[in-house]
Amino acid sequence: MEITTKKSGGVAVLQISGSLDASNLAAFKKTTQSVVSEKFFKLILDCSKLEFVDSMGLGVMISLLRRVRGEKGDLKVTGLSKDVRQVFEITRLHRLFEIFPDVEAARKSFL
Amino acid sequence: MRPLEFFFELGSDIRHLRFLRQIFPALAGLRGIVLSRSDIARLTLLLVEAFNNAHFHAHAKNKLKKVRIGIVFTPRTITLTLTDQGMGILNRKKGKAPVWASSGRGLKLMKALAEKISFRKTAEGHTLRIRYRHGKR
Repeated sequence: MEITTKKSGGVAVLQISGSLDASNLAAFKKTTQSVVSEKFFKLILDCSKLEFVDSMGLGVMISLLRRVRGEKGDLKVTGLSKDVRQVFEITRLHRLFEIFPDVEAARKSFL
Repeated sequence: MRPLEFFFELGSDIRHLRFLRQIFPALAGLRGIVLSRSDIARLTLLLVEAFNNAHFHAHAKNKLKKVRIGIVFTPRTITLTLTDQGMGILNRKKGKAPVWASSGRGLKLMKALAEKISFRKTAEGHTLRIRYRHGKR
């Protein structure tokens, strides 16, 4: 799994590539905690290159969502593949996260 | 047609998840095994979730424990079996986690993706059996 971060206009876009599962949660947490520690609470998780997520990957996304909403921010999700989207729907997380087709649409929603 | 069967054993270590994610894409390329992209994705998730359950719940992250995995293909179904050496599936009657919960979704996912899930205690530990009907949309 790789995460790249781009910050502009008070919004941080985190693009996650590969798989987010129990084996790489620590790396995800480390990167996201670093972003949050810099006071970025408006986050976009670009999942256009995310191929696989398991329930533990979902768990860290939810923890991050809680964290930023506690600071009046939000975590928006973009670019879900059909398979990853199904995982969100089975677990009802499509009702918890705001999901957008792409980063620009999510960025506009922060305005 | 005789079922096609694969059995192997892994240490209870989440570093094996990368290997497990590659199993169904690799098997789908073998002669006689026809799996859609969607089947591959669902089966991979089932396998990973079941392994997570063994490692985190049954084995309490004990890497010295073993997980024995079986994959049996028939023309209509694929059966996964995972035998652990521990306590078995945690809270298996509780398939529902609050949406906001950071954990508890694994069993819900497995139940939604599989045709049938069963669980039994064995002399070695516990065996989780997952039946998946492939080709179903």
